[in-house]
Amino acid sequence: MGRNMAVKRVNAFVLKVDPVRENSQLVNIFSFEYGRLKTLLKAGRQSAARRARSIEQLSEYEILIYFRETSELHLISQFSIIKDFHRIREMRYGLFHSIAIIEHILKLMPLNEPSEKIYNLLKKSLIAIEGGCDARVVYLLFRLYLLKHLGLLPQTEVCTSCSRKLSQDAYYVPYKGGLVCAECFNGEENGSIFMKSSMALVKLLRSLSSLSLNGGFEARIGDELLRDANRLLDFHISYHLDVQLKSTEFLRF
Amino acid sequence: MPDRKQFVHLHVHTEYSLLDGMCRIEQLIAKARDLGMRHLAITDHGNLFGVIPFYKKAVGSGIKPIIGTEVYLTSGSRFDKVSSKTPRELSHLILIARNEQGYKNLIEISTRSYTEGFYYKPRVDYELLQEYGEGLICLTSCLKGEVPRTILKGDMDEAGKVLSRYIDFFGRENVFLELQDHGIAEERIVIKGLVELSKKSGIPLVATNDIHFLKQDDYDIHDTLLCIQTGKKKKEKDRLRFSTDQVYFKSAEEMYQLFDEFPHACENTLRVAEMTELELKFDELHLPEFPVANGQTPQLCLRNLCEKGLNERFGDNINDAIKMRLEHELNIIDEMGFTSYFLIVADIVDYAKKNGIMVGPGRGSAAGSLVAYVTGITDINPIEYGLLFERFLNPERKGMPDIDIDFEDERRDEVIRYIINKYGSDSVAQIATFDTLGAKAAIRDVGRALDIPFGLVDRVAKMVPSGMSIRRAVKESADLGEIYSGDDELRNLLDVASSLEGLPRHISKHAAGVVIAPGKLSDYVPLMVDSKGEVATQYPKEVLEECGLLKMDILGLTTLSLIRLCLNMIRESHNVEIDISNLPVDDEKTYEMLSMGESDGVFQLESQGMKDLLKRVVPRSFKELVPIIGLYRPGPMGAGMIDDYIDRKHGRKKVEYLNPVLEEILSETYGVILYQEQVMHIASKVAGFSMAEADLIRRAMSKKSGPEFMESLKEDFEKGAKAQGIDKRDAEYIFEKVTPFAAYGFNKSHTTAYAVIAYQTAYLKANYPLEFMVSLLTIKSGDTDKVIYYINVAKRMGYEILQPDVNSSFAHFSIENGAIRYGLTAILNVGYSAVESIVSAREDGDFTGLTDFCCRVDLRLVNRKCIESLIKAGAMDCLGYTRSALLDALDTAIEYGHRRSSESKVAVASLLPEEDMERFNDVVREKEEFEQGEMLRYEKEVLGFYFSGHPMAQYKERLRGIITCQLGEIESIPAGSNVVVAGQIIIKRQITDKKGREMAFFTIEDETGYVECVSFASSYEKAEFFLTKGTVVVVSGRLEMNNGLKILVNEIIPVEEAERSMTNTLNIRVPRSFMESDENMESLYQFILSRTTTGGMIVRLYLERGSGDGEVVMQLPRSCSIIVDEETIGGLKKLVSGCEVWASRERING
Repeated sequence: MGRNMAVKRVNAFVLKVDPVRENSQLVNIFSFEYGRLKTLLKAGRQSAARRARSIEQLSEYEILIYFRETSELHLISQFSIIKDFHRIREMRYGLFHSIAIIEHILKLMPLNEPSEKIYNLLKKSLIAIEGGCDARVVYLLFRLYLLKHLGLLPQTEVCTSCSRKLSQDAYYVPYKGGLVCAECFNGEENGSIFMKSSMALVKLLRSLSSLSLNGGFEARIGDELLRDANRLLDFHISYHLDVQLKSTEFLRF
Repeated sequence: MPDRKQFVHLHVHTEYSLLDGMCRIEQLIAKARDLGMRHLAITDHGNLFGVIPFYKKAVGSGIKPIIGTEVYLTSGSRFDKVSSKTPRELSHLILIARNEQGYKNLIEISTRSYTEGFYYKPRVDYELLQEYGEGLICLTSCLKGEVPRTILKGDMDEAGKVLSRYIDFFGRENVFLELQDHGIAEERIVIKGLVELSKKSGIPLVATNDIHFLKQDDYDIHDTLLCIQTGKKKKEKDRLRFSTDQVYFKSAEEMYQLFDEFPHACENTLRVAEMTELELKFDELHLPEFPVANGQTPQLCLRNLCEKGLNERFGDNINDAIKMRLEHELNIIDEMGFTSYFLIVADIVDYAKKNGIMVGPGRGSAAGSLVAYVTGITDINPIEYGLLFERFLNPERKGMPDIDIDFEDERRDEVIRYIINKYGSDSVAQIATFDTLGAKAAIRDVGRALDIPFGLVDRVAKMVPSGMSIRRAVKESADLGEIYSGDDELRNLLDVASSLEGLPRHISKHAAGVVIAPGKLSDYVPLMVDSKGEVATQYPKEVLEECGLLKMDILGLTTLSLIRLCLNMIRESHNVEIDISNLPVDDEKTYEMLSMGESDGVFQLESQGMKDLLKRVVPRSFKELVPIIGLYRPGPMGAGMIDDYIDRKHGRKKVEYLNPVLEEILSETYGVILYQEQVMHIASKVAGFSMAEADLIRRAMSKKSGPEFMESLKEDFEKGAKAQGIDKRDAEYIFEKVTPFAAYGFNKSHTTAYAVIAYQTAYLKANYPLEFMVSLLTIKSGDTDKVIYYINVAKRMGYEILQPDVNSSFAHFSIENGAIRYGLTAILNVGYSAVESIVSAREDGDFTGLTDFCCRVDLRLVNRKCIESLIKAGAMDCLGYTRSALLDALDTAIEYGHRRSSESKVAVASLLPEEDMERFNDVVREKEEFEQGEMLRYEKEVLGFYFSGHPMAQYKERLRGIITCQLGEIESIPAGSNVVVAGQIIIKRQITDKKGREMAFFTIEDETGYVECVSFASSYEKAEFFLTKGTVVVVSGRLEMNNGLKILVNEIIPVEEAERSMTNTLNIRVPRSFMESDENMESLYQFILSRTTTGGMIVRLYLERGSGDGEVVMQLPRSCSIIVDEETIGGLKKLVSGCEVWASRERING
């Protein structure tokens, strides 16, 4: 072991695995203790292929990591599975939405910032999908909670222009950070994109944001409303976080 | 009391009793010497193949050689080739040359046994023995001898008569009754009979042992040799085998003990040996006389010829130096007795030239002779190029000069026929050569005899590196060593094979050698006939040289045929007559082309190494072209001569001379000693040696003679230098520096001669590229690999290659509107006569259908197999049907053709008008064409390569995620880069590295280009079994610029495995329209799930964003990895119409 290394045991979800050089793997994880980490799983001389194959995206592991102080890339020494969520992979919707959830963590959670809440949110979301909840609802709820955690939840209570409580159909205007009432909305403001939001959508967003996770996962929401809600969040994330989420493209159909 | 230790073996079969005798001459003589024997005989079965090496070796070892043979004697006439059909009816007889006359008679008998009596075996008859019995000693031979056989039949009276006949043939004192005892029961009966005969007739007994091998232990190996000879397996019961192991080289003690009842029979062996007095002379030349006109001498004739030629060659430029040189050469030629030789050679060349047979400009050191130049033997002016006569003919060095001549290979036989006609068939013969049992062949042959599975044997054989003996390979190759120590059966295989390795296996004719004797050739050497009935000597060419006979190499050179063809084509296409012997030597186009390394098809310059050298040297004149021919060899390369020469030529290095006096000699090569002639010049200039002495010194230096000799040579050199005013230190320095170059330097005469041919071909290629390429393809049409290679070259040169076509193609490749039309004879199963029939039928108009074709050609010449090949090659595509439809209808069409043919005969016979005959309808029915893969396979089968497409095309999509570039792009990638490329292997050359391990150079090709790859032992070991020509492979390695761009291979994988082993991701690009349906997506997902497997490939889905806004990718988890095979790919393509699927190797920092 090098001088600048410390060994830590963590619980973590594997977000992404990329092969690197011969048989090694670059593994992005989201750990309970240290938040998102970049790690390297080096292949041993004899069991290289076997070891490399065994770490898997979407699963939760207990991992022994050599932390390197001088580098952002830490080394995985050992790992053992906690939960593999294998049933998710049998359901297209479940899988595609889980991948999208993972991508949110990967792209929105900064490195080395632990968050017990988000770790649990992730875990509960995946458990819910595996448990048969509507993946679209879980996904929506996950995103709302994540945005809430990041302090970026769109404003759905009042008009972001006049601050009056919204009681009718409104418009989501990304650069305003939320909804604008019909009176305040004056077309394609500053050439920005916008999205008309029905009152039903407004109410949905409000209610989901205040629901407990467990209750929320069980909610039954119409297809159209679900699609609109997710679309609104896509706009929001794209604008405010400047992140392109690839997986969401696959969820539009 | 006799000296019991003296015994002479008089019945000995050496290795030249092919595949029967196992005694190697060297070991045989050593054995005799070790056993204190002072005499030894050679008596091979029916031939005299080995007598000269035996004689020389024995004399050299202080043993008196006794020359003989064991002839096959027929009781009838040797001319009768029916009655004594099987060799079993032949009897054996030992004949030994008692003196020179006996040796001559032995040669005559042996020659006639082949030329007149050969029937399964070379046979002699009583008539021959009677006529040529003088000077021969006769022994009655083994159980197969006539006398022993008669005794065994119980007919002692007849045995007595046979003996009397022998006495009559050879004289009473020259006949001996041969006692043999190998423990065979019949031998006891024969011994009794022979003793009785001896008592009755007074003919002495002589004891022999029928030696076939040296040690008793060799019996088993010899038995295997017999199996190889007879093509049987050892386990077979009904096969030829020796019933005794006693036919080994016994000591005198053993022989005396064996024949303890007949000690005088042993003593008589010495008597026989002492009776023989034969001394063969090797220092006499037997040159034929050239027939000259009455009143002329050969000397005068040659002089006249030279003077005539001098005027023709030099015209007004004859000066004193030229005259003196000619005089000097003529005097030496005369002194050495080679005048007739020059006249003979000049006459042969003259015949060839007069008859339009292309003759090479020269070859070997003969190009250094002015006499050869002015008599037309060579076309190189030795004065212009500074070539030395003494390098060719040295009065200080006795030995035959060697004038080898190249003729166009297709007409070489005409030249040989001319020689035979001119000097008489009795005086001219071709020359024998022995094929020996090589290491791999020995292993395979022994494996077959021992009945070891061929696959296993072949694998073991392949483990022996080329050019290495089995014994050495076992020591040096770890794999072979492992097999040797770990497997009893294979150890035995290797041991036996090693014992047989190197034995002569078969006698055949030398490819080029012809020998001409001053009289009857069989007065000098024994002759034989080959399977074609052509006469050849029984001695190989080295032995003929030792016998002082004139041998010439009448070589066939394909390049000359190529030039001839190209010149004809240029005449037809451009109406230009090119005098190939008088080309302008400053053609810029030619040098430009060569300097770019575009030398494919150019004589001696087309290897990759040569191309690289051309690019580095950038020759701009003929004199700069000459050294290139010689430089690309291990010696000059290893000595750094190439780099030195190039750097100095391009001014990167200062031109320096060892001593200022050498500037004149070395200036043309920028101070680097390249030629042997330069070494001679240096010796002459520095030490004042004559050119003849200088040549001797050059030879001594190049042979790395012993230190004592070199020291004396050095002293002479220094002494000579002193006389020239050069001080000792300088002379010593020059001597030391020059010595290594004497070994590496090359013969300027030969290289100049070959540079002429190289320039001629390069000139034709640069100025008439289309005609040149068509000629080249025609000349190489029998060699599929070359055809493929040159077709690609032609394509790169911008020529379109038109497919073979029964309505347009001729026998050979031809020019058609600036493109190259494929020749029909290059198609498998299509011969000249078939093409003649097709072309002749076509004169009445193009073929319009398959039935039309079958009705018009001669189906006896253009048979079914031939038409099938034409269809498969695409040569009948012009008929307007698919190949599959044509193949289906072929039998019916042929049947129609036959009927038409017979009905025409009836029609002609009955004088019915042609138009009344029923017209045959075409029988071809529309059918969908073969799939591309099948069509290509057929093309490969009959053309040897893929014509209408490239197999790489089918891998294109699948390889795009694996390879880093196509081969056409490789030149733009910097050296040192790691690349992954794919291609079909078109050339493969396996060699052995310094450690004796096998490695390979191979070239792969895709649709865009090709690259050479070097696979060292570590990577080659894993790939050897599939690394064969035609295989499509993926190669990963490092790009290196070393004598051209090469890939130093890291890994080679067959393309079929590459997707599995070199990729980890399957990419699926799904059209947006497909994804818009939930049902579609679900079915795709379910399909993916159905193909999941552990360790499969990761799936990546690609989705177009729409509106040209790029695309997004989703990678599914590893647990959704799928198996990638035809079923998966096919299934995906079927399910998702318009989707793209490819495998890739996803790596970061890979």
